[in-house]
Amino acid sequence: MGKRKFWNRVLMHVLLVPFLLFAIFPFFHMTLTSLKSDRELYDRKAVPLLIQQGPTLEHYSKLLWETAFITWTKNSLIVTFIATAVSLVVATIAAYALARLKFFAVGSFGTGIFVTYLVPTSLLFLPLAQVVNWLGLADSKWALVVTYPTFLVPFCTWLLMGYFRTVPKEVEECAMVDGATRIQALWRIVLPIAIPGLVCAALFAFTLSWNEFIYALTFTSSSDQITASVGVTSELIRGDIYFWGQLMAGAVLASVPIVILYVFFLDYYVSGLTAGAVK
Amino acid sequence: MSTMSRRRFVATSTAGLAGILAPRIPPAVGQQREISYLCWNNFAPLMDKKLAEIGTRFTKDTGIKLKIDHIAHAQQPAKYAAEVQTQSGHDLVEMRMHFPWLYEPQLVDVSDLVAQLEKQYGAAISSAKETAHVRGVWRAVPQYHGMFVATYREDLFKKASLKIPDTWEDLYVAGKELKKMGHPVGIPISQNYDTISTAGPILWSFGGLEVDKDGKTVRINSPATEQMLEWYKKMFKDAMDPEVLSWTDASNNESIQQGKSGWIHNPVSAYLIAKQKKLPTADLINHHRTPGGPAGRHDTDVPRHIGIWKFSKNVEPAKEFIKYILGKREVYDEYIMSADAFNLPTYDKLKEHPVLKTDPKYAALSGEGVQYHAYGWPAPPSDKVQLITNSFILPNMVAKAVTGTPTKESVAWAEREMKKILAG
Repeated sequence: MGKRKFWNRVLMHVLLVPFLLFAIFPFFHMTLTSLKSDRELYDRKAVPLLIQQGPTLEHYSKLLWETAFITWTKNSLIVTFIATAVSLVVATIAAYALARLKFFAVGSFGTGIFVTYLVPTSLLFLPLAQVVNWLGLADSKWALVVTYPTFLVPFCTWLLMGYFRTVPKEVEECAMVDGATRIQALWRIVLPIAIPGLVCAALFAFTLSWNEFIYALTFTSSSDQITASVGVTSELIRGDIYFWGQLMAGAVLASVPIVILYVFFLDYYVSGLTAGAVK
Repeated sequence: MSTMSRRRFVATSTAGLAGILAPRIPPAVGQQREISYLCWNNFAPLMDKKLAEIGTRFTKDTGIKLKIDHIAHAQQPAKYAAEVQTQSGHDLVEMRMHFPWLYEPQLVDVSDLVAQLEKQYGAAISSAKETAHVRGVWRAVPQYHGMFVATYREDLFKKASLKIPDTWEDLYVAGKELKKMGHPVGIPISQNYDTISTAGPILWSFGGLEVDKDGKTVRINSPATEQMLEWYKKMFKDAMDPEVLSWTDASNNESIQQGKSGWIHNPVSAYLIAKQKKLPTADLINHHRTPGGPAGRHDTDVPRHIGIWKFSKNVEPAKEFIKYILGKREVYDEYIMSADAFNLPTYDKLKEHPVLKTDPKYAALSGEGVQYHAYGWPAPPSDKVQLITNSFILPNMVAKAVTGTPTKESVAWAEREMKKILAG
């Protein structure tokens, strides 16, 4: 490596440091706060970015054993995985149809789907509450499995539509000339090429479901049915009393599944967002 | 022994079965009596634990199964809206402050229960009546209330030989000294409910009000409001830190617990948490009654009630639970004691409750000479008056004034906003 090239690389990395700090800071602060004792958290002379009075796992142990955090997390995982999987299947088929097939008002239909996604959940939760009730799913986590696709499907469809359009038609047509049906062409040709797009949609859907609040709040009540996003805020913010240590411990633990997913699928995610199906 | 013919057996059993099925209600013997209660996440967490304990005993004593769910207070409106919309959900609901007015058509008349409780414990306190007695009917049963008091650093006041403030002007004098000592007064001026809970009493004590008793006439544009804003301006400049403009409901608590603020206006939660967490400031904090002004001594009260949804199919068992928890003196006492003076009984004869004797620092909670009101007083708490409160017009008016908008302009802005809401 030439000297000039070396210094260019060093410079590039140095320039990235502020962005890295910006991205890491919330996690650093969350973790630090979750490990501080209450006494230090309420000490005005304490340094916010250091643990001076010794770390403690007290907040984690209180969160895990004195609240139903494990149950809430389990519920979040069940709801998120199922809702994401269902939405992805439906969205893939819908997006393929909108990207490839020619039928009346296909363009407006695609836009319509995206507009549906833009309707805020704070408007939709009341009519959906009636649907949930009619389905006999009130106060059940399964109500969330049913309702989350209402915003996940439009979003994933829109994302995948764009991605499928970058897959050359010719590749698919070759397969069909060789005797593949449209479904086979989709399954064997388009989807393997579109994996980065699918991973990207899945990650977005997972994150949206994991963080969802208003449906989880209104459609579930029992402690054994609520998700982590509702449980943590309900149990640990009591009016003018915030249990900061436990709140931060909850935030750290709740971010773990998302971090794991992004670490494993980062490359797919980036290429899903930035590149088309064919580079 | 007489024998029954096959034909007669079929006829009798068919008629009997038809009789049972005709009302489309299962016979009482076969019914599982079960009720559910959607309660707020109490600011005093031990009270939630006690509620669960009492619930278990209630089930044991009456055979009525009770399911208790909890919800954070900020999320109550969304949840209640969903239950009302679907006409399904819990039987009993906790109702904060003016909720009985908002949900009036959806709530069972519980006047019989309140009459019984008033016979036992004396009349319900005025703020409870203002908020739960809707157009002559009790729509919810008052259960307890949390009131605001002045919380101050006793050690600092002693050190600087400061007088305990009896009026808001006295607080200004003390506040200036406190700020010099590095312990400013901590009154939030931001979009939160603690700001309203303090700005309201200050406005009332200067003789001002937002909306008139008729609930239709905006009265914010008055010399009293201007005096109140002038007081806020000098407090902000000489006795407070600018950070109060970004405070949440928790900030004033945390500020005095951490040892920064020398004086705050809040329920006793700041002290309770300091005590529970064994913070060094716990021993230094004390309370005194809220300061007054030219028009008297007023303060904010947050009464909390229990209501029963009309769509409930278990109104009678739900009433039984209310009678059990509030009507049995020993159970009610036990429930109140668990909150460590954060929530106090809402009936006259129980004003001097034993919980106030558990700590000498609760003496100020007897509220002698203080007139307690809910937000928006003296206007009846209609949906529009509540919208004025929830739009944070009062905090924003104060924030405008202390950050440079001329007093008259700030008041005129608030008047316009309030008029818009009342006209809407």
